[in-house]
Amino acid sequence: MSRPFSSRGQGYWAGVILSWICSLSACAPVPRPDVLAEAERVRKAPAAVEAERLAPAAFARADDLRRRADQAFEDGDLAGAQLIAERAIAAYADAVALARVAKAERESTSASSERDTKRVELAALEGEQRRVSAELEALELRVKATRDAQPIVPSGPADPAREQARREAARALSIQARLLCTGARLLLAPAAPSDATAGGADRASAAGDLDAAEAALAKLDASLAAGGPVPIDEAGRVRAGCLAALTRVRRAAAAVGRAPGAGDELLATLSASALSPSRDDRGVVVALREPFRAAGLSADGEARLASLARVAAAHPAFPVAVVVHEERASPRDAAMWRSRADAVVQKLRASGVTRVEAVLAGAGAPLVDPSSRDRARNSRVEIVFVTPEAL
Amino acid sequence: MLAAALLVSPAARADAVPAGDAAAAARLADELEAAGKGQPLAQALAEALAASRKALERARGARAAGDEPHAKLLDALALEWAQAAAAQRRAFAAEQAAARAAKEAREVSVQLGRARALLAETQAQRGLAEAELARVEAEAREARDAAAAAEAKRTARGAGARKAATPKQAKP
Repeated sequence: MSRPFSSRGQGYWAGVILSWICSLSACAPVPRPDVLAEAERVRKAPAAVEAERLAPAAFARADDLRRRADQAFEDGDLAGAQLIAERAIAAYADAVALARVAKAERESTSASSERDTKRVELAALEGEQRRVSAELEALELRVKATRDAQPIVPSGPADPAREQARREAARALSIQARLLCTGARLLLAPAAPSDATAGGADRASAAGDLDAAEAALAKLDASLAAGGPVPIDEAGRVRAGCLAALTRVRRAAAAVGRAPGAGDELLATLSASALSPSRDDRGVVVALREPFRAAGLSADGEARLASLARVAAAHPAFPVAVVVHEERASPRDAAMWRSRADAVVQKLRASGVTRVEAVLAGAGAPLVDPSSRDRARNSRVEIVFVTPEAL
Repeated sequence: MLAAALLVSPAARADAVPAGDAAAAARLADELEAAGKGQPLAQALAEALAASRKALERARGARAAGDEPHAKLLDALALEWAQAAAAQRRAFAAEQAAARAAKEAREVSVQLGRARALLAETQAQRGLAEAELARVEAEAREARDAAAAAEAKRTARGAGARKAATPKQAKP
């Protein structure tokens, strides 16, 4: 029996088969490494597609690496192709991260812009809220004050002594009314030409109220001068009318809640100057005693007035009313008191105070009994800084 | 040595990168790991940093085997992953900033809504207070007018009585 392959022949055929296998394996195409396919997949993922739009330079670099990996593979550099493909995958990851940065920055800018716009809107709303709240508070106060006002009980007939007392009281009320209306009139006069139109309809309405109050005051004065039963209730109403007019002028001049406290600051300034100020419906008041010599100012009076004039000039929003009170009513001295009032006004004007007016109060608003020994205290000059704001 | 250099593939030669890539990658990876330690950031960067470290390890292996060209490719790969991690860190920070800004915008939006509602309520209250003031002022005006009329009557009566009490002058 012949053996198909001798041991020597076996070796030969094994060599032939091996050479065939070797030659076949050398000629067969080398399989494409998975990493190249993976780079391709990564490139087509939605995040990478977005990166192409948001981070084009980084994406292009990754694409370039991927192409070079393909080229290396085609050139037969399998290991190089794999490593470059891996690097392309890392570069795509870099591009995706940079796209996230771009997207987040865009969203951040948009959100910040929206936030800032809303903050501005919120600040405006808060300002409006403060204004409306202040208006509401003021209205509620007025409602309360009106409700709490004592009911007016008409005064009945009186005996002569009581009528005399009523007359004096009515004159005092008339003087107070005049001082209040004067304050309102001073506030209506614009501090600066640009203020002339401020307030608009409110200002015109307040001016109408003031005209009506002054007309009622003139009627009261005429009635008091004519004699007869004293309209004491009317005197009270006239004073209230002037106070209401002053309040309306103040409200028209400055919106409620805007820059309150100017009067406090002035009061503090005057207190610091040892001028002993006080406060009433008209505003901040400094009383000067014995500032006159004959029909003019004494040296001491001039010095004190100069000090007050400096404060007044520094606070132009506060017009000044000069109220001259006599020790006792004396028609013979009327010209002298007028002259004294004019001297005070001139001194203030010369010192830069633009809105100033004198009011001769006569002896109608005494501090002490005019028949007492210290009646000299009744003689005084009040420098009234008319408060421009509603309290 | 020369033969080994000649056997290096053209692609590997083209991608030969400076020897500093490995050092740069290691430095960047260390820095990023330190920055993210104990923070949510660490988790976000973990994958990219692990890939960078692994590439460095492979580069060391290639060098040990004398395959410098592929070691350099692996150095470049390590740096690429480290840079991707750095970009992810930036993305993480930018996304957090965007989330913060969006949260603030939402908060301001809520505040705005509340402020609008409060203003509307206060305006309504003001309207009611205006109406109430008009009502109480009208009542006060009525009382005042009644008092004025009563006083006018009194003063007119007094004036009449005074006139009556004045003696008439005798005719000459």
